[in-house]
Amino acid sequence: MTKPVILISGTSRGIGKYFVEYFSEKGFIIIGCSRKPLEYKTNSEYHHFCLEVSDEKKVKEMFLFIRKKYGRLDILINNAGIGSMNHSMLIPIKTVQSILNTNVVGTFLLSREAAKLMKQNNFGKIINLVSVASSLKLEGEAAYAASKSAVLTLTEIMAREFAEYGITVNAVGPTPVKTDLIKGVPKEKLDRFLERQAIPKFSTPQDICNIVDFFINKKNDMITGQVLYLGGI
Amino acid sequence: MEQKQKITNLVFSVIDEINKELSKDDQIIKSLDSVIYGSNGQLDSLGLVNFVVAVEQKIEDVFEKSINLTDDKAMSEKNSPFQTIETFVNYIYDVLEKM
Repeated sequence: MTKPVILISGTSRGIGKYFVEYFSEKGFIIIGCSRKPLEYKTNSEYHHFCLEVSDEKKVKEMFLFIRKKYGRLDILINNAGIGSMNHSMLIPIKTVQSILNTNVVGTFLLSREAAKLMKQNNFGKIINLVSVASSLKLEGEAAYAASKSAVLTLTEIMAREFAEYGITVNAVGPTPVKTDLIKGVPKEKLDRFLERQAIPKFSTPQDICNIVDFFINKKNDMITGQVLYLGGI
Repeated sequence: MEQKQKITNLVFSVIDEINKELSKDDQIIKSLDSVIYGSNGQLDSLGLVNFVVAVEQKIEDVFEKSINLTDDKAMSEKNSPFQTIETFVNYIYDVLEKM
């Protein structure tokens, strides 16, 4: 059986690192990217690209490599994301631009290039990461939540644009996960966020993988443009 | 071989591939003045997407470098660089020159 080829952004740490470990176990061929090089070993065929996901030239070079080496891409997980927990009146515009570049432009660019490659085989699964921060209108996360709302809109519209080519586009919306992204957020604030969920718990990377497994299941080719939130939002 | 002729041949080779999938009545004519997109164009918007992406990948294969054939005017009726084969070839030529 042919091994699936998966591209995951933001693999140097956090959920991205977990994705690499998870799909390595499954024997997938993994292409990963992040700004920094990997500082851990992988068990499967893995190629790493050090790049900014909003850098069009570098991203296109990565896709050229995938096309030359494998001739296909089965799955893309747009995992790379940055945030800033700060009041809107105190957040530097440079930080806002950086959040939009990584979370929105990066997702757009990787999805656009992935679709070009996936359409050749009339098959592809794109998974975006959104956040409960958008749906819960979390104060202190205006820029991050707005960027994730944009990713949700990309999910819904690209699902329609790419359906013609057998490509589904879906999103998973985890509750806060204990990663570097939230390490600076005070405990009381996190507790307040969790209280607004039906299941007031942090998500684990495995919770997210369970949803990804559902979306990439070949049998689920009628499911597109959807977001699945964890925690009962 | 002159660069523009090389690009033209490359575009024609993609048209050959696309024509294999099209019915006899919908064949794209391999001529520089063939209207690809817009009024009297031979391709609808989805057909245009398929065509441009196929050309982009072919160029990457032949020239062995990544190229970006995106343009804000792509879907414009009046100013699209993809209106005719000739405007498309000129557009690709310009993109390659700027790289």
